[in-house]
Amino acid sequence: MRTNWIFAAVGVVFCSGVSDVVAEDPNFKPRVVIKKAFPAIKEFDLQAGAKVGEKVVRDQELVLGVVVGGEARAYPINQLTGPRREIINDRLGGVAIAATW
Amino acid sequence: MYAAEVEGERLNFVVSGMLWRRSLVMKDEETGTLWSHLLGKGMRGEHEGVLLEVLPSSLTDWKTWKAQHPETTVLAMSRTAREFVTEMQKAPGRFVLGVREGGVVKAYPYDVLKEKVVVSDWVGGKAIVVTYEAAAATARVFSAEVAWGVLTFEDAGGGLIKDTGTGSLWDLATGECRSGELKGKRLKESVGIPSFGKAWEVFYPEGEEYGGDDKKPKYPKNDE
Repeated sequence: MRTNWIFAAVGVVFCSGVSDVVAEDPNFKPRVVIKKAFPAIKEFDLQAGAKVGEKVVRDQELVLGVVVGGEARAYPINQLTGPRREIINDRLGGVAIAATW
Repeated sequence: MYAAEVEGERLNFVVSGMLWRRSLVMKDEETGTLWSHLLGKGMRGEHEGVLLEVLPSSLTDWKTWKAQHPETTVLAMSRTAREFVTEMQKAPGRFVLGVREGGVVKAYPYDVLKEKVVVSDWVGGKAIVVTYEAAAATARVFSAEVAWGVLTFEDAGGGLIKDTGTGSLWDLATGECRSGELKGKRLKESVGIPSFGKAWEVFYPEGEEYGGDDKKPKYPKNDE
């Protein structure tokens, strides 16, 4: 559902660089908008919610919240805008998760 | 929000630089499989056809999340936006809560939810209740099926909903029964996907829309 950033990159839109694979969904026709994939995000700081200051997130700001295995974590959307930050590879409550919105 | 494990292997996802149907294509580092971000489905590569497990998550404001989960931890990377307040509050008409149950897809527009506060419905043979917390501009979906049958709800004001069977009062944000005969029971939260209405429509053109007339839903064109 995050599409806004692509329009800034519209100048580099073209279709190539994807090898053909047989037996794929014929409807799947992705467009390459940025030629190089961004590095995976696997390491980052976390803070206890009780100690978080406004520099990280303010009360009225939007967060993506999840509970796994009794552990809760919030991902402030203010850190997840732009193509470099769309996906956070994390682990919560003993489960590997991909936080994305 | 996805569980990132397939056949016992942890997958790390990157932004592929590709788009499909105006939505992000993810790629996993381990196998190079391309995945649709919105469908959570392997589209090309070794895991083609595999569906990632969706984990229930909420998009809500920090104050609300913190109050409901005092022990929460928080991602603390550098900001990419100086401020990100609830777009959903400012322009609810642009958003829907997408629900997929029993092979049926149905979208609940935020502006309809905002007006109704609570909607009891059936999707794909499952009884659900969709709630809208106005202060946080947050929509949620719960199973309305309990051990002894199905509950239907009406708005009781003040963040509470009332099941019409017993008159018990439930918290519309947590699904917990606060008072009445069913006090202490809890509704099971289901997966609802907050989405731009236009993006949802592209992915699920055959999907149903709650409160929609027969005509196609109209969304404002300015979210590009």
